[in-house]
Amino acid sequence: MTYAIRTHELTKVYRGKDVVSSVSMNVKRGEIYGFLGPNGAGKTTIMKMMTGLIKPTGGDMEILGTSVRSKSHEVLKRIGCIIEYPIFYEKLSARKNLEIYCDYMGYYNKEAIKESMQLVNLKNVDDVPVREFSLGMKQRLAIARAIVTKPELLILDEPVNGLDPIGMQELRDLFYKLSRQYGITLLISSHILGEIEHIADTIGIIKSGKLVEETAMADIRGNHTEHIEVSVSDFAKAAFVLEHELNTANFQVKEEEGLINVYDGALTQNDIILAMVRNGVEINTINNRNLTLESYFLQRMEGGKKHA
Amino acid sequence: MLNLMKLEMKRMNFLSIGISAVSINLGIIGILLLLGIDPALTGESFNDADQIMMFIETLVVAAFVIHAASMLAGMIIEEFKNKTITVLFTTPVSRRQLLLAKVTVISLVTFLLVVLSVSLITYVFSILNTNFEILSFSFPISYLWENATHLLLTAIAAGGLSLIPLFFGMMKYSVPATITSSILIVAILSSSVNEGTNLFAFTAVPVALGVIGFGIAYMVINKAVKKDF
Repeated sequence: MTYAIRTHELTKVYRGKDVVSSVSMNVKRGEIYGFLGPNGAGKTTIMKMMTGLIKPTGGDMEILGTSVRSKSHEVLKRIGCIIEYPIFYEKLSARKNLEIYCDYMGYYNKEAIKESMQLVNLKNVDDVPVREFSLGMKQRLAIARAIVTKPELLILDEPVNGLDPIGMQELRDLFYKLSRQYGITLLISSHILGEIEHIADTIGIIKSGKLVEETAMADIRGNHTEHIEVSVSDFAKAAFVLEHELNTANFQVKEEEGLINVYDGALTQNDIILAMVRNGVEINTINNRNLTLESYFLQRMEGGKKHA
Repeated sequence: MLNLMKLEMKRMNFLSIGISAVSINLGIIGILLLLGIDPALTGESFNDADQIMMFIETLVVAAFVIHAASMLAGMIIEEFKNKTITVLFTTPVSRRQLLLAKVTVISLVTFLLVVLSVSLITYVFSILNTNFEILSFSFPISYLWENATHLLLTAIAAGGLSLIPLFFGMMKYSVPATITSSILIVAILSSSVNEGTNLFAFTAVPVALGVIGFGIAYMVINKAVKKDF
């Protein structure tokens, strides 16, 4: 397995306070890595360390096979990034902004500018000064700038902020295309889960500067799929029925919420209703529930434990 | 490094620099022509070609140090203030070289503008003086060659001097601070210390300040290289 990014015990201390603390994350080549965490968790700081804007206080980092401790800037040639909010020379046109960027990146294919503007769906604005752009347009232009040099790795800090839902969907599709068709590795941060839930291959969750979880999406989906939520009054009896009548131990009693969650995939609503009725357990409601990434994420954020 | 300097120059608006330089030159020639209005009054301050030469150098250096401050503001201070510098910092160029390139270009342009302007103004004014007797004494073109070494030294000093405002401007990434400090520096240097002479006249003063300017640029770059953005 080759990795695009590997950090080892990466730490950043500001004024004696750990902003990022011992983060060891692994981003595989070619995957989309969703980097989740609330505002102020340290996502941007980590991404800035990866792009050389901030120097780590401790730990190591290897990006595209190059140790970042080395003084070489060459690896930045292979990275495209958006950090924080889109920054441009506001008085200059969109095209001119991209030209300047290409010059400094040492990339001389002028056709690429046109192509990348088309990819992000910015049309007929080449010569418009950036100050006349809306936030959404700037965001698109920032993405165009990040991909114009055809990088191997894209580091995108909240790239769909400020976009309307249709725009978000468009860019999600674009990210997916960049990953699958062009083999680009994407590290995308967000505090809104829905944004990356559908495209990410791996999710890293960061909380208060610490990486609390790094899991393949496939595993999250596998572990936290459906469960049946049964609302009953007599918990003891219901639990007894589940254990002895339906022969399952894969359920959880949440007395304070008045619920029993049944995780046994072999059981259907019908099985449960029949068994309960046979044993005289009164059912108030019964529902199929999907644990979305959102609730999973919230659980992890609040420090809650995983379900059985 | 040379490449980075080229990139900087590519982004500079040479037309506007040209227009500024021509306007400054015309303005200074205009000031010199005023000397012809009242020869008696002029005679109180200026008695020989040496003093006129010094006067021209003072005016030119003063104007282009302020002009350099506006370049510093546009090419360095605003890049930091608007954070566009962070975009350049994510490209594969060394921060030190990037900033050094900017400072060198500004310093070099100021040096060239000072040499060219002093030469041009001296040339034009000496022709005007020969034909219209603006001054009560002669001001031959040959004076320019005789003072060439001094002019070069002054121009190099101006190149360094022009970077001093960086110190004030970079404190809070402030354009007004940059420009104001340049005006203050010029005002102190060109104010008369006694009859017909000013701090510019003592070659050591501008040269020392020039060295300080280069030192300040080095310090500012060093700080920016280490800083987190």
